[in-house]
Amino acid sequence: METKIYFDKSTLRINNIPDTIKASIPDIKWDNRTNEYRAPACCYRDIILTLRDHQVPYTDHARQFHPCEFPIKTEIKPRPYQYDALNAWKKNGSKGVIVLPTGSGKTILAILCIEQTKRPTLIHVPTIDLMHQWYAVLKNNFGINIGLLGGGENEIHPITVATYDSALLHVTYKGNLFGFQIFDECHHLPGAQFQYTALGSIAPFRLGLTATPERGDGKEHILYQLCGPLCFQTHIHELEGTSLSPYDVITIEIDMHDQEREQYVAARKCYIDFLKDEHIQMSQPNGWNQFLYKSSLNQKGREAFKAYMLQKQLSQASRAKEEKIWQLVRSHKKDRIIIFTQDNDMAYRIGKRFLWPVLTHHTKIKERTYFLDNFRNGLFSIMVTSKVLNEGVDVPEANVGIIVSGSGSIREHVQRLGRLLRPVQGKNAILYELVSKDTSEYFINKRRRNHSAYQRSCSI
Amino acid sequence: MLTKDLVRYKIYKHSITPRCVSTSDPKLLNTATQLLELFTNSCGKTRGTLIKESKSIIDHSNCQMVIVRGLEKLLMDRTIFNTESPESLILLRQKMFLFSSKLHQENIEDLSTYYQSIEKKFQQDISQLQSQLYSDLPINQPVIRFKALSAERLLHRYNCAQVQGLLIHCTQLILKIFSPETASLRQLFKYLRFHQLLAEITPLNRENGFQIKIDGPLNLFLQTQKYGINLANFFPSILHQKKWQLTAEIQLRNRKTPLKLLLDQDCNILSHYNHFMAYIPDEISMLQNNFNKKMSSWQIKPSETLISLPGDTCCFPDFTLTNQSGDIFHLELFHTWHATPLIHRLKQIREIQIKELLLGVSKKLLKHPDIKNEIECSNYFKKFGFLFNDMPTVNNIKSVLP
Repeated sequence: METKIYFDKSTLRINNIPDTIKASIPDIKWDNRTNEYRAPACCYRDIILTLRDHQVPYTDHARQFHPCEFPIKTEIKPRPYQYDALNAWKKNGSKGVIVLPTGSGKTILAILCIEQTKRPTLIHVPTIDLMHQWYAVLKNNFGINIGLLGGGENEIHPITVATYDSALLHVTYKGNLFGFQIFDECHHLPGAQFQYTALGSIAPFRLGLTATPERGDGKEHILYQLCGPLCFQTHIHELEGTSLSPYDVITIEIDMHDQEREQYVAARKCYIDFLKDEHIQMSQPNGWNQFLYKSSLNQKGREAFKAYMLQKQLSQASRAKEEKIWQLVRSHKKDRIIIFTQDNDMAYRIGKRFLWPVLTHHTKIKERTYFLDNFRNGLFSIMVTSKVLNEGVDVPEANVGIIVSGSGSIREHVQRLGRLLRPVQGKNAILYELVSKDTSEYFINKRRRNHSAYQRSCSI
Repeated sequence: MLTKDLVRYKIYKHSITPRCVSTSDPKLLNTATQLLELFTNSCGKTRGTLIKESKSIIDHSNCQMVIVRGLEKLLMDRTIFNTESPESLILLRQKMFLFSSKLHQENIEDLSTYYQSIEKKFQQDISQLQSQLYSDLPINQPVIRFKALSAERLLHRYNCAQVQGLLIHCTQLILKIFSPETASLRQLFKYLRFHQLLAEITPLNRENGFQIKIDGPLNLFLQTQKYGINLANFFPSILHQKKWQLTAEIQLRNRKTPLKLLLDQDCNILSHYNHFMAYIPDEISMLQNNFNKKMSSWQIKPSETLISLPGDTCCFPDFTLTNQSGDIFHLELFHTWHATPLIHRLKQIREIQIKELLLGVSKKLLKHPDIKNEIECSNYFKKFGFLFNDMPTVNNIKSVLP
């Protein structure tokens, strides 16, 4: 009997499969629940190629896409490293991960890959902003309707951009509609949930793009399993001065006002005393959970939690920092400035105080587009944002960044930095980092300096 | 659903037990009533006010804070806020930012001069403008609807959420259903499919019933908690079964080895899921009595059989008929509310050979053109199917027996 393959909820159901094929693909397993053979959807390429190799006749009910042409309507002149990356990826069977610094033209590279692959393509991005940005670039270059999944949009076209979250919801039903999957900022892919967007799709062709493949949890190998191996990589230093702007990092240490310093010291003491009394070690993996639990049990705990929040807020966002922001902004009258904060509260506090536009995940799509457009065309010269702009959103004209507060994660800082490294002629980007002196934040900043992107920083 | 910090459990050796509350505890019912009163009358209040007022109830409650915060979370989940931004506010922001950007390029060093220019332009006090500027943030959004429930039901919902909070961390459920009722089982499997889960079903060894191993399609290949949320969402449908037992291995992040969760009908949690399609009219029980009186050569009893069908479906017949010479037939009845299951069944019968399944179909279902067409063309139905008016009669069944 003929072999038949069906797509079923992120997996493939396979009927009448010859033993020889089964033996060569270990992921094909008998399923007692439904009495048939089953494999994860991502094995589709292996299964089909093996069937063809063995000249086994089969009917493919799984694949719901067909080869199609995507001619590029604009004139793209790829940079040499983009050509090299494209060729390395194609040589690898149109599968694999490409590592390029932020701002080096990953989207253009992806467009070249789509044109060459000639299959309906689903592009995964981490944020709604990035989704809209990809949408605009794809529409411009291919001149066709582009689909969107996420942020309230639900329209599928042969080229569709989706947020990872929405793709995850849809992959169960739509994992067989696309032949090519692109994962932007693909270091997200090995996350506990997001990996199922790759695992549950039959797409035979895959491309992962990132500036920072390293993950805090060491799960990079999952990325290479799902996307294919690392096939091309360049570093910030290799590109700097050619297509990326030169940049400087200036760290400014700020003394708190006396009153805030007193509040900080008192709050920190209350919080630290509570940790000692309750024998909680924050350096332990469950330290934070223990603190959350114990601080909810009684009045003393609740006080300690308030104190924790206060000392954190004061060190990240003191009044003195706000005054410094005003000074810095005044000294850059001709520049376009992005101010980064650790959380939304701080972003809105600054936005309200100085009447500046704030972009967070609370900003609705219409205003988000309006803000970003106006910032790009120069009608807005200042923008305050929390983590929203951390990854890849293209703000080419920004040349001054002010980090008001931030966590210790290396990736976040490289990406914040990367945003300012857009290729605009004659631009000298500056990144200010405001650190409260003699607070826990001060030490986090020191630790961060080991990363290569910070090697040229100086302190004033 | 509850967040991790609101899920309460106790661990003893290798087992984990959710800390359910007593649904008749007067103190808890009192606090629940206070919270419900606040939420039921919350229309028009902002999220910020609602949080503040419920915090005051939580702080003054004589119950454990973590429980009351859990109740509050469940009520928040049932509250719908208006998340639209007024056009006038969007317009104000546009004007404001264009103007503040213009000021940025001018020679203003002093913040108070900057404020004065803005006040002059907008003819409003700066503090008013500041508080207006982002007044559509979630904290300021008003309530438009709250889905009300009783205080006792809220406590049941809370207990259910405690179990769900643990099930999120499991990869597989093992469910035993004892002396099942066909209609309830059918409903259970409907929920199972709805939540994209698969099941391996085996009859119990010593008792009447089934063991059902439940997980997701990808569990065949990897140990994954991906379906934890599906399993947690599926859980309330188990509560409709009369006699059941559930076991699951709960893998908490901070523990090396999994913990065993064991639960049965004695947890006494009321389900908040609909119990639709599980209705069995009284006439059906009468049918059984009449049949046994009139047809002495055959015996009829509620079916305990399960027939596996293609893919992830199975059929639970209503009755099983046996005669002295050892013939066995199963009878599945389709009432007016069973249109979709009937369409599925007729298609499946076309695909595979089912033996010994009799189909009784309400005549009212023939008003669906698909069903009418399928029935008229089906050779299987001609041999093994019958139509009935309101309720099947003994004669209806007799017509398809050998």
